[in-house]
Amino acid sequence: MLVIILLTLLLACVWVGLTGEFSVATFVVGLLLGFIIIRMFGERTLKVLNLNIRHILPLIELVFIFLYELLIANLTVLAKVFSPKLNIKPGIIKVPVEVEGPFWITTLANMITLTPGTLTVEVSPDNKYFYVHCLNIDNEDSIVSDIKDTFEKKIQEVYRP
Amino acid sequence: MSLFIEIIVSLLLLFGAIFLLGGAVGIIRFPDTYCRMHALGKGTTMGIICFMLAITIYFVWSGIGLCMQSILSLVFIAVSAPIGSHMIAKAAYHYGIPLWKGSVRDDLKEDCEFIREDNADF
Repeated sequence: MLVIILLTLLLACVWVGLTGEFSVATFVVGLLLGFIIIRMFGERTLKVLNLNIRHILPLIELVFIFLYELLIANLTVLAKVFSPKLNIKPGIIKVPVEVEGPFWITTLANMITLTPGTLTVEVSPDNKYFYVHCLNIDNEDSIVSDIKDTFEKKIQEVYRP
Repeated sequence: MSLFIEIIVSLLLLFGAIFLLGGAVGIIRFPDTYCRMHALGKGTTMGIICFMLAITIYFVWSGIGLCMQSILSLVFIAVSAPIGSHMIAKAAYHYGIPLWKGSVRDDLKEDCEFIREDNADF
């Protein structure tokens, strides 16, 4: 219930932001729209997300890790792009994952895409493996352990508090 | 104080431009679709995040007000850009675009038929 109220408030804030008018009237309209949207689509989405009030703090932490990794990824790709000799060894490797639920698998795939030198290409039908394209597969173990230790652990902390 | 904020805004704009330039150069220099997606997905996301942060800081400081649209577009781009590059890479692979000849290994090759049959059910 609390999650539904928070989501409605969030949708109202997004509406106020999109219109660009900070007044009580727009906020009320946003609340009304948020209520209607949650009534129409909320049940299915919330079932997929399976969110709880305890998830919110780890989720915010996850956003900051995401931004930090994005910065590191950019710097490494920039270094590769501007290096005079293109020393890349691309390839697709298979990485086992242990995250459950469609939303968290999507999140993990997105975060892998934003880590340095890796890009998710495909997910196996049983959701057990990712096929990850790497720019440089000199040491495959370090890539796999990187994904396992930083992201998978954090995401498991979020959905299993 | 105003000099300090101007320096921050200028630095953000400069870094955003460098990241976008890196993405563009990467598209030309990298050898195949999959490597190009690396440069495209990451470079443009970071460049646009830097630009939007600069816009927000500048508008708040110059008294025009909090520009929520820029913050929202920042969030939506950061969430959706990796999905875009992931989908392009996936579509390219299933369309049959080969990996670069210097690629070292391809674990997806043996499982590809299996995945394609599974996708055909939808």
